[in-house]
Amino acid sequence: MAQHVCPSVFVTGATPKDDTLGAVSLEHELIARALDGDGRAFAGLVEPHLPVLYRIAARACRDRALAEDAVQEALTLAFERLSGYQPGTSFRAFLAAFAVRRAQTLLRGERRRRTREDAADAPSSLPNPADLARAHQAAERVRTALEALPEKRRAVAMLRLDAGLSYAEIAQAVGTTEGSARVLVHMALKELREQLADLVREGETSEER
Amino acid sequence: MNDLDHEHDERDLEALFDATAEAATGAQLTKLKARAADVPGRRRRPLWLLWAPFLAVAAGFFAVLMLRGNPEGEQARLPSATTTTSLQAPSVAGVAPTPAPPAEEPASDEGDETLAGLDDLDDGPSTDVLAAPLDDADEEELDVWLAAADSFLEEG
Repeated sequence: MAQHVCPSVFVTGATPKDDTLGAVSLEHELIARALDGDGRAFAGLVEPHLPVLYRIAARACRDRALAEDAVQEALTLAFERLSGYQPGTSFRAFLAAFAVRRAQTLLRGERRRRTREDAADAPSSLPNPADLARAHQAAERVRTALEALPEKRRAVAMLRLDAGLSYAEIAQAVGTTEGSARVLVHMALKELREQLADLVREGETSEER
Repeated sequence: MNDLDHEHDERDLEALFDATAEAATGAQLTKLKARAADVPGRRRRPLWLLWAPFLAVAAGFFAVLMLRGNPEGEQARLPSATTTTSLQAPSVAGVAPTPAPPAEEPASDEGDETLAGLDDLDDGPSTDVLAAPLDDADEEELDVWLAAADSFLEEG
């Protein structure tokens, strides 16, 4: 468990000697201000992680507005738990955990919606150009493969492949040990590889060309 | 599967995920940042405010119950209100339109001065009671009190 470091040490003390220490102090100061209700501080704190949070949310649903709402809901959840965040641990992992949780909910809704839509609308009827349609279908395949995974494996797969977290960060996000996170990621990727083998091969051949 | 294969698989999947990921546009990121700035303010609302609408409805319901209860209370108190009016009747007798004329004119200036202060007390609900038509029992009671008032004034 990381130690709580008093922000005043960094704010009033000597200049931090390395960037990591400076980043931690800035992060700590922003957290303190955000907890006091400073919206700009909270926005500054989460801004570097917004692309990842959006990517996770958008992975779960096709609707951009829904994905944006999901990011905001994840941020609200994160703010509610902000006082419990341990400075020095990965803030990206802290935020990504909430985004993945929201994404899981979105995926369930998306599955129901797709079941309804597929009954009435065949994918071939998409008005988009062929490339766009293929990309769209590939995204759908990935989404479907993720949905097929058990919840925890799905979470670690998204944290690994969309958020780009390390095993230690994934362990922090899902509340397990690093070893367990490694095993979970391994199993999740193996299942994904099996389900998406044709898409992966397609990607490989296009890269070779 | 060895580690090399696993790393290879992971790289392939990463490439696939990157290719199928939807990146946020600049405008979206700006919007998300603005929405993030709103989060602390929205969260800082006290939790009890969530209950405010329900509390307001409950208070309204309670108020309606109280108001509904009051007319019954008024009706229950009406006889005593009439009695109170009757007790004050000597001062009002001159202005009350309905009572039967007293046997003798009570009007002595001294008596009017004595009872003048009571006129001020006749505002409000009791006025409505006086304005309402009197039944026989009330008229008899009023006559008795007027007679009593007359004898009191005569004695005084």
